[in-house]
Amino acid sequence: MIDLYEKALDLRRKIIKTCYLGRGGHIPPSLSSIDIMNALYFGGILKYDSKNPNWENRDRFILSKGHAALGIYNVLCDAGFFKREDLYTFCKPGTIFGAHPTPSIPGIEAATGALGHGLSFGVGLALSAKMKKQKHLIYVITGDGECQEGSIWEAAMSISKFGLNNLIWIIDHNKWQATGKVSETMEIEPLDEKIKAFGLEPVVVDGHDYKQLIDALSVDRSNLPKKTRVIIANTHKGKGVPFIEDKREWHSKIPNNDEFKIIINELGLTEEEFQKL
Amino acid sequence: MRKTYEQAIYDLMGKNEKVVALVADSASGKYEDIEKDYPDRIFNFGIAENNMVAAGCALAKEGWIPVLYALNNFLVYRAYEFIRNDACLQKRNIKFVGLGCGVVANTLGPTHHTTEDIAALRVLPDLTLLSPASPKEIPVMLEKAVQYEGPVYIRLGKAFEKEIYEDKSPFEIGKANTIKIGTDITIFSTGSIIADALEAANKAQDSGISAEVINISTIKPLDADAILNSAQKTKNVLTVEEHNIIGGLGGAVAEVLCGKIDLKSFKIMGLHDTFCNDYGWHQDLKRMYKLSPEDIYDQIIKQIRGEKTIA
Repeated sequence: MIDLYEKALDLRRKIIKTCYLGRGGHIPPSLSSIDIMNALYFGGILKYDSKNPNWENRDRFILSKGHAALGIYNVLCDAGFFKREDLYTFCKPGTIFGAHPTPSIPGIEAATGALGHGLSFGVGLALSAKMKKQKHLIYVITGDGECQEGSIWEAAMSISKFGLNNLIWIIDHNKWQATGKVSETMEIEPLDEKIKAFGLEPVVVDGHDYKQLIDALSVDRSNLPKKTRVIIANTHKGKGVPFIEDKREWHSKIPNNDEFKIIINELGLTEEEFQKL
Repeated sequence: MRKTYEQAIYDLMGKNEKVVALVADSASGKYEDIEKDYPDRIFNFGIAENNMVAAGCALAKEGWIPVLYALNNFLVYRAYEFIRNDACLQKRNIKFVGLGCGVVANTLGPTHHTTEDIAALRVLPDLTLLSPASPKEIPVMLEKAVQYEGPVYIRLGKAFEKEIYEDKSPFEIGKANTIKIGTDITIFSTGSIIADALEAANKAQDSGISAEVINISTIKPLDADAILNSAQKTKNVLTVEEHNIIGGLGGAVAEVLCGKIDLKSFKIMGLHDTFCNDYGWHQDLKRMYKLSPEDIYDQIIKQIRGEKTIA
């Protein structure tokens, strides 16, 4: 298996490159969730066929926090769903790659970005798999600020009621939302106890530690957990780039050229190497 | 309409195994038989319309034909962004059935009325918006909605609607249906209030006015040809709806006619940018808001006066 830490660094660099080219998207939430998506796609968790994106037995992945599009685009690209030259049209006229994903993009199941939709969408996917007695799994990543949306808890209730243990809900718990700290904007803690109270099984992990991530994301497909697993992945917004890490103003800010230089440097690249990515 | 619809969806589930019934604490009446006879294809989401809509769209993606049933006000207003983003934007093959359009919720009051739903829904790209006039239109409408590939919204009445079709409805998606042929004025109407328009038209007939009545049971896509042809013939247009005069059927008809035909008169009858804040039976409320058969008759006379002698 590939070294996931090395792959993660490569993906972080490409996220910056994609943003640099398109001057759009959201860097910090992509960096907080990239290790989760890296583990899913390159850590042997998800079943997929990049040459046949609609393969019936694929696991379904929903990035409910669609503003981490820069992350999923680069993962899908490296997994072979589309070419890098296509991705590098990001946010330019004529592209299919905007700051939030839509199903025009191979490998994307649903248009997300309006928060509080993806988990409910996952509920429908999981229900369908149960009705058809299909064995694939449904993985959904939501944000933590996203848990302020009422529909998240409507979905949580129904996951429990319908017994959807074929769904794994991952919360990218980076502690920040668009304009400030989650705890100061609208506290969602105690998240684990809330999840328990809804009849689901919380598992708390370091969302940048691959051993913990792989352990939590691995599900015994022949013996599904009794209660739906909810992985609270403690992460850092902007992880891997100290210049922007855990800084409020960076949620949707596009770096200027000087700032790009700092970021590229922090990711261990010369400008020449960056241009070649 | 409620009972007819519930029987129709029950029958359809027996015929089409892809149809899945989704409800939001709205599984009464015949739905109890669906729960008994098709327990694997009905899901009650509780009082949580948003979750139901997004989950329904995922079921559609997986090849099912979800038919969602909830009170119209909660479905269209509460779950609007979900209908927009999850259903319309992604062209999901999902069907919405909203119970109790207009002011048919009568004594339940303004929180339960839907007098802006046509305006809200018809602006959504790729949504087909249907509005049955009377019970006999419902089984055929539901069947065609399920055969159609894409998001469809049916705004249902509730109870005690007058039947306007003798046998079965000739309903086709996208086709208006002429209920009464006339030459002096055209009345375009939608939903159960068309029975009142028809009553007014028949009374006008006795006064020597020949009014054409056209059932616009597909609000989107609108049958522009039928509207243009009839308006060209009569040159007097009256639209009647149990809905705000802003953005509803009248607006839709005006969008078709604008710049195309020189009309002698054009009038939109509906609620005058107000909520229905009163209580009473359905017919009482329509009377209070100047939408009774008598009001419609008076309006016909107003538009025709000067043009011909009224008997």
